[in-house]
Amino acid sequence: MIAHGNTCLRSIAATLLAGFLLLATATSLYAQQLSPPPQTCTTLNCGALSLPGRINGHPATPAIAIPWVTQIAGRANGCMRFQLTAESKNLAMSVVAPDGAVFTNDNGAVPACPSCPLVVVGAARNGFFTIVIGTANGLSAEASFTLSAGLYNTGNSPNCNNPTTPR
Amino acid sequence: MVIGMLPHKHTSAPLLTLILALGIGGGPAASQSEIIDSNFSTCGTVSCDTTSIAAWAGSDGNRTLPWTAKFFALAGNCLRLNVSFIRTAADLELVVIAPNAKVAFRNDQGSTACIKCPLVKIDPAPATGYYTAVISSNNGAVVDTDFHLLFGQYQHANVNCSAPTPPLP
Repeated sequence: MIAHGNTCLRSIAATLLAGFLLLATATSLYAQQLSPPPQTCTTLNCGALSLPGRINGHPATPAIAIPWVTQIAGRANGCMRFQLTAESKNLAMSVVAPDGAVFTNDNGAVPACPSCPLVVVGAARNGFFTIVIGTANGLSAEASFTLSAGLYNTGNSPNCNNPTTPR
Repeated sequence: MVIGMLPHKHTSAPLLTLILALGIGGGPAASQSEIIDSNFSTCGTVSCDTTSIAAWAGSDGNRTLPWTAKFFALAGNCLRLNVSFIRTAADLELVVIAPNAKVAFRNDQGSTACIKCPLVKIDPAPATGYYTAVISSNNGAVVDTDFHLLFGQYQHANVNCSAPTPPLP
């Protein structure tokens, strides 16, 4: 009976631990999707989310490149602007729309940081856009960056000028 | 793990809960999950030695919420990602972004497992690192469906990577 009781206690404890993990997992995961507030302002990156980020390189042999990934909500009748405003190494960015369309850029040629990637999705849609930021050459690296992510009215100037062509 | 092989029925409940927790962890929001193939293989039949992941392509209200995860591959190897089962009539699409974020692969209906199942075969993998997979409906419409994804890493030119997916131009 004692052994059986211990087994039951262990079972209850394990259930509670698993339940805690379930809640913790769900809580942390839903924090990964971001929803920038829609804007109609007309200065560059106005009202955008400013996200400091970091890509990682695992020091194995060969070294392992670990891109940075998140999901950001768009909506129909809107446009989205994703711009790195700072980067410590040469980074590139791909944005995958909810329908699988891929938008990619390496050097956005914005004067403040010409080598920083910039993606403008001219016609957004309801759903989450997956943002992938990695090194431009695929080599493992530790690098920091700042991502500006904004949701604007369609045709917003200057934020939605020169939209990126999907691949 | 096969639950039926567990030694005591008392242990199946917490383990099942834990498995469910991990399953949800692999759900739509798992964009930071990094998955490696513990079955790196040189086997010679299609889909041999794959890791099967049961996952969910979902929504948040009227917003499509693609499923994402990162899969490891060594440069020069073959990386195969194959949706092998879709619970509903949803037509899924698969996009894979390489560690060098400029390189992308995309497929809608390449798998023979089911008519609406996508398949991406990357060979040779252009970089050592994590490849970001994004799975969603092929037209961006809201879907709520579970699916199975078979993940395998093989040596270059393995039969599992015959006719590899070309990168997007």
